[in-house]
Amino acid sequence: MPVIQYAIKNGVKLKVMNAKQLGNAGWYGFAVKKGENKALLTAFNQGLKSIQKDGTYDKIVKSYLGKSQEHFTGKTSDNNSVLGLLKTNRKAFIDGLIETIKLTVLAIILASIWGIFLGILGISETKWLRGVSTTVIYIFRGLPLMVLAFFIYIGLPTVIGTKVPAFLAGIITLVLNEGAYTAAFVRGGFEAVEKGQMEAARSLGLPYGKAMRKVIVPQGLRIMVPSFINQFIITLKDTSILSAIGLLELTQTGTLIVARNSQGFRVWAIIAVMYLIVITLLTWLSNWVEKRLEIRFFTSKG
Amino acid sequence: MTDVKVHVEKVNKSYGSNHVLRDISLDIKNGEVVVMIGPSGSGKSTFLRMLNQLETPDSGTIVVDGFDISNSETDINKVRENIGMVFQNFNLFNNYSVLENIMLAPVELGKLNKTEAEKLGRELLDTVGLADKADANVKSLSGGQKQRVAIARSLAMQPDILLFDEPTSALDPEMVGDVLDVMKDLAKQGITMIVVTHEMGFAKQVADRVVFFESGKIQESGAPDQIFSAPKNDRLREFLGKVMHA
Repeated sequence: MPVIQYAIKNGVKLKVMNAKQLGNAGWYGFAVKKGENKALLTAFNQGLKSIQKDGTYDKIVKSYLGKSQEHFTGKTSDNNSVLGLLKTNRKAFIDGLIETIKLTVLAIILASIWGIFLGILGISETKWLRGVSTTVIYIFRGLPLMVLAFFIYIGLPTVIGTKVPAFLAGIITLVLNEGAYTAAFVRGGFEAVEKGQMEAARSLGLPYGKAMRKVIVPQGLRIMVPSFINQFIITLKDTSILSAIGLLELTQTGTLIVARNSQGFRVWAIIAVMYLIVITLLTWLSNWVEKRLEIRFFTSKG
Repeated sequence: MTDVKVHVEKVNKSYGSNHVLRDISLDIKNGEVVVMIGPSGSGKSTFLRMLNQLETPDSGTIVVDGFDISNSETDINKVRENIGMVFQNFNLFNNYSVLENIMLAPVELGKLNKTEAEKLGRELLDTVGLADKADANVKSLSGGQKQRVAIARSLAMQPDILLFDEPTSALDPEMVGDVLDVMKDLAKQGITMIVVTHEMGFAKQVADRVVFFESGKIQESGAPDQIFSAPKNDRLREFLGKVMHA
């Protein structure tokens, strides 16, 4: 049973051959060759008993199914109206939403920092620094997000020898991918500042760094604001791809609920609306911040 | 220090196969007003931009204020503090108010504190006739006003050399006079001025010396009277014929 639930959770295609006997089967079973290996069978049974006794069994089941155990077992007699679905799965929806928001906020902050850093490298006066920026942007903008996620979550651990927690892998994936896009428009934004601004600053005697900080960066950032808002929204939507590495965010939550109650249309409609609401809030927030920035930095009194 | 403010010797510059400056040599004295004229693409703007290293020569020597700026060891930022530059397209900092544009360099470079810089800024705005625009957004100014602010900004570091790169070329005709008036006042104050312009009237009236550039060479130079009334060089005569009777 847990194996099947785990398969459902991870979207593995699995066919149950002897469905009638399923109810009689225990939670866990081991397969041994019939008639042979009696000693092995006894050892298995003893081992099973002892891990059931000391709680290791529950731990194993929990570690594979996590919270989903409590969340996703329901009766078929549940109310399947939209309100009913919301009510029954309230906790699952909220937890999924919180996970999505956590991923989004962290990724937005870190990807922006990384992207601005890479973007500034990209307009450096030193040729090889520009090269580094261009290469990093090229690689991580070129890789599909899901491939990058699999590479970090599944590929890397086999080389570095330690597991990468799914959440961390998800954040790294988002930061590398969204950061590359951010770097590209950051570089473009700085390049869009008139060349004469730099010349005027330098001709007054300001060194390169000061000229950048005081004149080029503030004007460049202003050009980039709409791109930043756009990238924030894309980041939020891209978190759904991370359901592929088992992160229990909003999309994965939807998959699990539908797997249990088969109410695909209603559940996915609910999930879609939830995304739209968060995106709307994010857009409002971004526009509000943009206005505040506008007032503080870009206009003068009078 | 000698009386020579700018010493240029055998400077060459090419962009690809385009040889824009050929063996240029020129000395400019302290307090002298030199006006450089010539057809577009003759190299006069490139030459001017070399005097504060916005362009670097391929060969030759440029000494400004006693500093060899054709030597890469020289701290160009220090030299630039003493050279003001005014651009054709003003290049006012869009992210600052008029007054902040003027205050930025002296405050950032530790020459003045904010209070002193603001006082100087307001004085300079007064001399260019824009005292009431101190707090205005630069985008709200007309071209002529922008250029006068740019001149005030270039004076904020209290330089002894001012470079003007076609300061009136991007202006509507009715604005040109205001800017030229400010420049005439500056010329009287004894600042060394090097001006690239197409304003022949200004050259005649204000210049101590007029230098004629053509095909990357100084074809002729001399007092304005001689240049405009008795040009020796054929190309200069041809050039004057075009610009004076247009």
